[in-house]
Amino acid sequence: MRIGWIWLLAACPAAPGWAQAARSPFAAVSGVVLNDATGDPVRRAVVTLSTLDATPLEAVTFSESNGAFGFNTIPPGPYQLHVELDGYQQAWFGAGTPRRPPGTLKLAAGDIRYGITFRLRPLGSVSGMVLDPDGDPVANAQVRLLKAVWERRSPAYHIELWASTDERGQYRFAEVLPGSYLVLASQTYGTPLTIQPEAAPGQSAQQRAFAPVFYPDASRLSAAAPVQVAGGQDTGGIDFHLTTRAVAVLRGRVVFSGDLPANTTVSVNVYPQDVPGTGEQSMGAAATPPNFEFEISNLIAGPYVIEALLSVAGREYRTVERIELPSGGQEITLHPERAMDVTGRVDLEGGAGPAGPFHVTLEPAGFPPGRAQLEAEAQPDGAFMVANVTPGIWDINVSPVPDGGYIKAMRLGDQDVLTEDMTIERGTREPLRILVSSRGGVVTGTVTVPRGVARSARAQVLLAPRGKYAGVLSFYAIGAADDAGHFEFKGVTPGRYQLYAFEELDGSAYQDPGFLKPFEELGEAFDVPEGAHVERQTELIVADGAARRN
Amino acid sequence: MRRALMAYFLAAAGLAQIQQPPPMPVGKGSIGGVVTDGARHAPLKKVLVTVIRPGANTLTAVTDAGGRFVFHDLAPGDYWLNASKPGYDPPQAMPSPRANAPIQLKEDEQKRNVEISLVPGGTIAGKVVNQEGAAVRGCNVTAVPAGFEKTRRGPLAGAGGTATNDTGDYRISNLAPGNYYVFAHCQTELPAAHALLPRGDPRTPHETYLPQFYGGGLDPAAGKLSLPAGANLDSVDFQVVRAPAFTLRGSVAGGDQEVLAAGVNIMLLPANRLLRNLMSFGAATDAQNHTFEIPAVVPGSYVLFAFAIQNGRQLTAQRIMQVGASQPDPLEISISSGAELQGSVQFDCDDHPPFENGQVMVSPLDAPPYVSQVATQIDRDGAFTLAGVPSGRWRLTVSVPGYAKSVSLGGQPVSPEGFQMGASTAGPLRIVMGCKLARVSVSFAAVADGGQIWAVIYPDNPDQLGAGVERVVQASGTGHVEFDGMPPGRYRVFATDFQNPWPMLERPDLLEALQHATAVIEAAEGGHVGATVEILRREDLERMLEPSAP
Repeated sequence: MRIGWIWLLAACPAAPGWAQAARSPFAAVSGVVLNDATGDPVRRAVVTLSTLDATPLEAVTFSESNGAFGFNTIPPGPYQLHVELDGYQQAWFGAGTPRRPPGTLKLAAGDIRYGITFRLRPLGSVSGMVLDPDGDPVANAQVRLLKAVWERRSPAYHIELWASTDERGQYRFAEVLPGSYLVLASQTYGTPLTIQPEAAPGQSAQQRAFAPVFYPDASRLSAAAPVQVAGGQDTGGIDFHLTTRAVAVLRGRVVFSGDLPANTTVSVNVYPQDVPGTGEQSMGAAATPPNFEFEISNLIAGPYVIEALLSVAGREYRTVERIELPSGGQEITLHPERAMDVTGRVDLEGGAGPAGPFHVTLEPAGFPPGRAQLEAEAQPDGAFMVANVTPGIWDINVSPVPDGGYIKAMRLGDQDVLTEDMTIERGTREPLRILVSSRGGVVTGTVTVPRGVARSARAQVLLAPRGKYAGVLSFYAIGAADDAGHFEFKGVTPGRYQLYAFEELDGSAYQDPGFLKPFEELGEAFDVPEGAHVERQTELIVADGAARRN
Repeated sequence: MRRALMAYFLAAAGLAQIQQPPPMPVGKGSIGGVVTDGARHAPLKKVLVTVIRPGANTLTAVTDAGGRFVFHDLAPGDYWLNASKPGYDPPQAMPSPRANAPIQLKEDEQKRNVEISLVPGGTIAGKVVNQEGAAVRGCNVTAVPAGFEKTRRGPLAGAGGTATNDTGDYRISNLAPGNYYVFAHCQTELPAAHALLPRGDPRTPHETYLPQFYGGGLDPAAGKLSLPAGANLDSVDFQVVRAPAFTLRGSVAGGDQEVLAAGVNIMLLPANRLLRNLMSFGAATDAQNHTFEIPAVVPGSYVLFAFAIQNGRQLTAQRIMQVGASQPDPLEISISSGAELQGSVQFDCDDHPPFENGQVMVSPLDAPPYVSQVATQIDRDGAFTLAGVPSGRWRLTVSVPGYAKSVSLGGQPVSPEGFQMGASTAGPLRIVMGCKLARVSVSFAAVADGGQIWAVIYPDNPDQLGAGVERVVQASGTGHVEFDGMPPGRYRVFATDFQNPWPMLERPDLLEALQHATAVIEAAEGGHVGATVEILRREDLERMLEPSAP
């Protein structure tokens, strides 16, 4: 095999061959880059060798036409090796698959490591056409590739990629990670053209709009069929036949207790409720004095979330309503509620005197999006006030939590808002008490590799609460186990837990309430008392279908 | 004509949001006809046809498979028809006949023979690959109308552009018929092989693809393409070549701290002015260190340009530079305000109008982006001061009656259409306004049946186009028009039945093509000169506009 060497040290006295390299103070590395789908060599992949320093030293070479690459005269030390090329998932030495953490290549003087094989996984693509009811192409249609995710322990979809159709109605998603997706097409901005050659004054032309369609021509998410994308292939023919529907008008009025200043404008936004990925396509209107009436036309009958927002003298008001808009239109009345000032206190337990200053953050949660995050600085005594908290669900964060510490309690009045959602309502006056403890638990341990499985012990280790708090996302922690399988979690909230060591863990999958069930019998639950150090072993959960050696 | 009408439509649209116009009055007349594809002479289906009656709500129809439309029950009056279909009447195409002409409908008149033809847009498509034949994604491919490079009016400008996708394919659609150059610029910074270097080290080598016109190289003429109306040129392929690329680094001085902290705009422009709109590199200085970095610069001749505004004055710096085969050294450039130019305006006659409210203005020619005009009031005695005119080429406009008969800068005669200002250019700028304007009479054969003829006069020197002396006069019935108040000079005149000849004056290539149909006249100071011209028929003009067969 021919090898494209890259000389790492320009001042190398002689060109070392294999024999000389073996005696040299340097190491050498070589290998090959292959296409995982076809087994063919991959040409001009970018191979980067880097040290583990904060500002790493990097050397770059390219794979040759036979896929071969090499680095010579490498100073001894630990390295990472990385390969990338447009159209493929990137690969790390020792990772096996792109979802696993990179491994370390430890090189001693005189080492010659050859035969390192990278199998690059090609990305896929999805393409198709969007047609109108007459079979004519629809230009500028918006097409979205949706990926199933978990959000707040509920199934949801997020937009992986979006595209728009050209004048031939064609679209294409390039560089798609292999997997299962839903595809959604809509044309919100264009009016459907229906042949209507005759017109006269006074004729009422009924307005129509394109309805969003999931592949294969399903009007609802529940009827959508997933599209399987394979690496190195174009999943073509994902076509849509848009249908048109009569548009309904949503009329409404914003009613407010007390007088509004004459220049007040209420912004009203309407979000389709059952079409994921259309949340960013809200339709808006302004309700203005003196009657604060609004009208939003061009809506298709269906479920919507309506949000009304206004600001009077720096004070925010908000309301959210859910409606099922009938095809005949609807009139609604909205009552925005005044934002509250949430006052409270952060206390530290177990530390050496008051820490801080604490910083309290409220993050808006739930649909519709668009509210801003709110922040407050606590006083030296821990007292804080977050101003202008509009009604709705808010997630609470406090920082800094001392190293090894945890948030022990958060209460809004009598309600436990550490393990339940905090909903601010009109008239919420109760204080928000936050207790930070410096005495979190420590869980350390080792990942063991099942007998007969030739795998590295490197894993993504999930520390998952069991029992009553199994649904509290903030109690979950993910950590990495190193080559020897060692892992450590600090600042663990006391309670009952179980450890899971996944060779591969897909982002938010653990939020699926059923996800961990099949693995529960692989280990057992254990208690982490406050301030305690618990040592556990856990067995590697090998990824399916990834029978490849590192 | 077209512009005025457009303005009216916009105004009407703006009004519609505030209050609905009254419905269209009802009568017994009708307007109907057929919409056709102007190149294929075939009926066009699904064209949105709008009938407009000033002050009333519009009516729309959508043509059937025979291209037919009809508006019934219309009251007598003036109507405009507008026809639109995606992919037709591309921007920069000559306007369709009829589309913007008023139709005078009499009582009970059934006008059913209206023919509207739409110009189909053409497409240029192809693939960009590298020297190994692999697809190159993310290249900007621009279709550039040919012909503009013959004048000093500005660099080549794209009529449409797009980026190549993951398969290297691009497609530029909805192009007006004409001759084009196609330019591919793959500006991506690519890694290059190198030995161990700290990440981010300025010595790290990079490569990029050399920009090129279709046909190869930076001379556009090698690959001129002819795009007839509605044609699809779909194998306009490129093979781009990798070359070393450099990062141009530098720092900016001059200006006050506030200006430097706000960031100075930096442009690296090709020295070849034709390429300036097609391949320019932009950056902004870092707010703290006032440094900048421009990556992926290929060897060549450039102008480095810096621009900021301080207290309303333009601060600029310009430096011609060569990028060779090695990493250029960091540059230091200093921005400064342009020269303060004092001057005077005099008339060459005694009974001249007063200077009051008169303005002297200089506008940049061929300037990098950002540079804008500098204007000042003329004092009662004719004196003026232009504050801060940056280096470059400028055109002079004096807004008092008469014409700039002679202009001198620092005692040297200069042309008001274009004169050079350097960093050290000193005034005074002396302007002598001529009072004696010329009169030009143009005669042509009168047309029967109230047909409309447009007479056009424009300067023979293409450099003077766009300076405001060209005129269009509409003649109805008579065979004679007068252009009064023309500055003395050499002109070309023609007459045509083509509506709205204004856009032709922006197409030097067309003016060159129709030179044989124009008459050249010399207008002397205070003189009266006449010319007789043939009427340039619409059909002939269209034939002339038709691009030559590829």
